[in-house]
Amino acid sequence: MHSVPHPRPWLAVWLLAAALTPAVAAPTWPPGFAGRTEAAAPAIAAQALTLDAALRRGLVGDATLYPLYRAHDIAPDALGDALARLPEPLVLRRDVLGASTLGASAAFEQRLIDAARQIKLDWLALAQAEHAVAHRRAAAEAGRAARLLAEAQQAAGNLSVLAANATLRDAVEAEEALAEAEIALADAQDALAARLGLPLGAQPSTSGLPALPDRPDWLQPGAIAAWAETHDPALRRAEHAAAQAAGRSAPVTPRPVKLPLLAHPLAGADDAGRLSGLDDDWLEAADAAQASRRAIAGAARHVEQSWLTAQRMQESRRLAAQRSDEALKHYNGMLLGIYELLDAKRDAVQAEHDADDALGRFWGAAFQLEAALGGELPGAWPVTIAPASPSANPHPEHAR
Amino acid sequence: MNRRHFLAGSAGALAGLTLPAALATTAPAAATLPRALAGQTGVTTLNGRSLGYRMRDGVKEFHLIAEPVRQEVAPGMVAQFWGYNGGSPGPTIEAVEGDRVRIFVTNRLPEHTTIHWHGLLLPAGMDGVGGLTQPQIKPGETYVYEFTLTRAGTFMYHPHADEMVQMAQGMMGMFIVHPRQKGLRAVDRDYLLMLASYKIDPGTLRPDASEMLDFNLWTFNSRTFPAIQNMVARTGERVRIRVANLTMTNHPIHLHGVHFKVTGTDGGWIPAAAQWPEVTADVAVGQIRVIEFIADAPGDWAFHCHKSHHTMGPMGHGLPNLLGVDQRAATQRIERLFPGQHYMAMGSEGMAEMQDMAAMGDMMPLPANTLPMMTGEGPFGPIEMGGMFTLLKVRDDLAPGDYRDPGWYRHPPGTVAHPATGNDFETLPR
Repeated sequence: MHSVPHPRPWLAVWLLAAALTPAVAAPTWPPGFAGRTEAAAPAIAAQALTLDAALRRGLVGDATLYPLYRAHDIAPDALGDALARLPEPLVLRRDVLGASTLGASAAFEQRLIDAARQIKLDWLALAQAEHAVAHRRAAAEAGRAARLLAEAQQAAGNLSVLAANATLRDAVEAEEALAEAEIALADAQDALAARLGLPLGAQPSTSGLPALPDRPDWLQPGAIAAWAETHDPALRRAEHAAAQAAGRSAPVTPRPVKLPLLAHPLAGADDAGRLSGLDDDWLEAADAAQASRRAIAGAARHVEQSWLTAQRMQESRRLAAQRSDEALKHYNGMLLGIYELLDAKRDAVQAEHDADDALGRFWGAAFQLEAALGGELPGAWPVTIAPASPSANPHPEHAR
Repeated sequence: MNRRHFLAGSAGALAGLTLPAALATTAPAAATLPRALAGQTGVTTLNGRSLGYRMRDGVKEFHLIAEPVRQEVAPGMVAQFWGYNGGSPGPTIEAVEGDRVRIFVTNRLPEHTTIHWHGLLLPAGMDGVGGLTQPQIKPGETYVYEFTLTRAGTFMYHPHADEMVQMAQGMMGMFIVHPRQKGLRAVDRDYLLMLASYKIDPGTLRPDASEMLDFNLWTFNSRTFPAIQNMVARTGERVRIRVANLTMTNHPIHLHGVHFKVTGTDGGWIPAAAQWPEVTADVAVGQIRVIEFIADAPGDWAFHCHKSHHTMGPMGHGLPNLLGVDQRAATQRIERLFPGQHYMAMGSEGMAEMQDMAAMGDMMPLPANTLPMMTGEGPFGPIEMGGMFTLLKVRDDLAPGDYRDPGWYRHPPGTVAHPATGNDFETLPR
């Protein structure tokens, strides 16, 4: 069992925010939305948002959080000011919630953790959509070039309708893929804009997918689970609740049970299988703790697997780019035709798309794990030696 | 932008470039001087040599070693061949009609081999057909062949064991039997070359033995222009060129500047009454054609296979036909697809622009270990050749027995084609 610290203000920064809220201006709903928080929206929408910037903005701009803020008398403008005092990258558990908070504000904390995860996932979805559009645009450009060549060949009397057909059809399909990607981008922009409290029609953009980090030592399910046992406040909270419940039920003296899930500290060696002595609160708390462990284990597994997948796809991307480069050399020597060169380029673009898709899935899994762990990972992501793609600039928060 | 226009616009940038030495001249390494046998002029194997021998008990003894060979095809490309005695083709065996020869063959290949003496009349057990006339020569073994050379002529040697692979790897050579009678069929210069084709994909070293027809290297003695040694002759000299073909297709061998006659095959000498003047001799697969002529016109004369694809370096087959195609709109888009790299449209006006690759190698590199489609710089500009192409250089002032490259021919005044002046020609009938 973990020791239970004395309940205290659950959010250091909340206090700061409250202090910064002008005393003369009693919080009224929605106090910040009509203030600087809203006024800053156009400027925010105009810049390429880093993940950190999106998180800071989302915490003050996400309207779904306002009922909570109202209940806790938090003004978004004041919160924004408080967040602005925190260094990058913003770590929810450490910087905002406080590493040792437990107990009374659990529901609020969880709500904030879920919100932060959703902000990050929405930002990630937009970054992926931006990459997808860039890839589809390049593929469409290659298709247009091939179509123009084929048409010019036909005009010169060098290519039959039959021989040109496949090239022309490929070009049409590439245009359609681009159109679909652009629709997905608009949807992702809308979703993030809503999450950040940006006005309707805002078209936020991101700084691009972060590169794949080197693999840290802690990226293995066993290590993550061990870390969570001692560091994850959510798990500690569940354990704490179970202990409290066990304390209340102590006079009943629950009997031993077979399931390790219910390895109650007061269980004896007799009366196996009897549950009558366990109160519902204890059962619920113990089950919550075990469910939390399962969620952490699953999220950790997904992160590990998606990291490996992303790494393989990076290699695939490298090889496809190499093929494109070599194809250009062959083209230079008239060893390869222009259509084959364009095919190689399209293949490289598709490999980039697949690699970025895998990279996005990795970061998505990482954000899920972070949320499952209560807002903080066991360690930092190592500095990535080589960026995953030209558009993916590693942000400091992934190299802390 | 196409290559020619690019070069025209980049003259300043290109001025500092130095052409690779091998591309700045068509003159390869100096010839190995022939040696006389029985009073006959010895042969000159282009880029090659004749095999030494020793006499023992009245028998000429030779030693051929079948082994892997790494050899330059032309500057910029090295091939991993199989050959004999360090080369592909192997050294030329020269002997004299009536000689008794004993030829030791050592196998340093990873698989068995034999040698078939193509065209030579000899005992069946010496014919070199693995499994049929002899056991295979296993790796590490040395076999001995011994027979008497009954007839003068031009012959070949090559494996008759896993023949498809071993010949595709470059295992071949020539066997010359000079007439015993001094002065018979005498010439002043006697050149020989073996036609060989290979499929060595750009970026690779080793010939692809599974290729049947789609070769990309067309060679004289496993070299391509401009690495093929030039032939030289003094004006008025009688010259013989022996051409053997171990490729998988026929080659119409064309010589500029003279009328020649086919005087022999691998079946023997052709009687004078059966010879007729030619400028092109077709050499079929597994054949030898011997041509002779009087080098009566000084100049630098082209000698090449007349299948024009065979005088090109490696090039893609089945490329899109872009001749006459306006690529400008497409090129603008393609350039955007290759940021930081150089893409240029080509083929709209022909393929001569490929000659410029030599000067643009830094900006538009080729794959590793391959050759440009066309190359060679002559005194008037790009020669735009490759593959089976070399020169016969005839000079008035060349000393007998001098095989050194005399440089480019200096044309007498008024004997070089030049731009027309005026427009009087426009009234000529069309």
